Amino acid sequence: MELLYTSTLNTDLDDAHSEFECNNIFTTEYHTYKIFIRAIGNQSTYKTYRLMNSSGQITTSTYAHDSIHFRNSGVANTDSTSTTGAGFMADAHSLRDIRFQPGIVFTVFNPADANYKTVCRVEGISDYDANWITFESNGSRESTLQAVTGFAYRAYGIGEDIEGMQIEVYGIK
Amino acid sequence: MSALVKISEQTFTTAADITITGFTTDYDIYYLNVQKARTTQGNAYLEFRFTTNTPSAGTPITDSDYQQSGYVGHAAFTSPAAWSSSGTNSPKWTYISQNNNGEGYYNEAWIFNPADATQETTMLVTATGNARSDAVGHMFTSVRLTQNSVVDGIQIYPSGGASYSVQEAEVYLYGLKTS
Repeated sequence: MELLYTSTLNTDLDDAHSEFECNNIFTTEYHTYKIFIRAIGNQSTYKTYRLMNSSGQITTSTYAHDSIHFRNSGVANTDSTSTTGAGFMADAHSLRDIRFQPGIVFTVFNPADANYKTVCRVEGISDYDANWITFESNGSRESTLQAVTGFAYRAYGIGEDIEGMQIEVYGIK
Repeated sequence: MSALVKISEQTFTTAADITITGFTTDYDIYYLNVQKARTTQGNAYLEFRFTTNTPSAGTPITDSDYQQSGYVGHAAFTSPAAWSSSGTNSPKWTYISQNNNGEGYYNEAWIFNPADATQETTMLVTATGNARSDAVGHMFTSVRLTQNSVVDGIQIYPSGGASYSVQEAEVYLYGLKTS
């Protein structure tokens, strides 16, 4: 597993972003990518991701995903399709509460091969409240056969911001 | 320098099963990455057994000595289904619900202490893939082999019987350097 890319977005709570793009990082040299994300937002909603093509555009494909979500209220399972957001990166109920930096492991399989639909997987931890944390396991895939070269980490809700994040991308070949 | 050392890389096409050997005492932890896995027919489980080197390399351990615990999420399930079993000889690897070109399953597995005859072998597995045209399936599970065997590999096979086979899969095996 080789470190390919690292980036840090340093902001404060008054300097917000709704999206963070990492493009031109996936090639056919690696079959699997492990992306470690630590991020803080300013709203209590989800963070999602979209995939990007070689033109640097976010793909217009529909995504299908299945999420298993553990938190204090129990275990929930969600299946859905979406054109606005793929799998949930984090259930950011309290991401604005910077008691710790919620950690996400984002795995992307075989993205640069145009003959296969890109499959992704997320395992994430986030803060629920003072007494509870959440665990999210999510699987998703893009509906279109195309080469994928990057991804965008996105705030899901209108007016939501990404306040700061660190990303490390590793490739496995 | 990478901490993951590649041991083997194999492609399977229309095969009865996926058998990978290469676990030795060189490493305590192994990482197995299975890509594009499909069966010749849909609605089939892929199951697995560890293999041992007696009487020959890659011999499946078919004893009912496997324990498994995990969850599987799938569009066909209204709530996540538990994969729990004790004393089984056919633990689950993943569920394959279709076999369309370009829509395989992707697995990662971490195998602990397989070649150490003084310890039981355990494994963590995740799977994500294309359940059908508008849905995916994904699971995570833990497995324990309750016998102190020298495990030299793993055999992954369709559970549907002789009419089922592995249509496609790419498999990468790595050892994890720990020092």
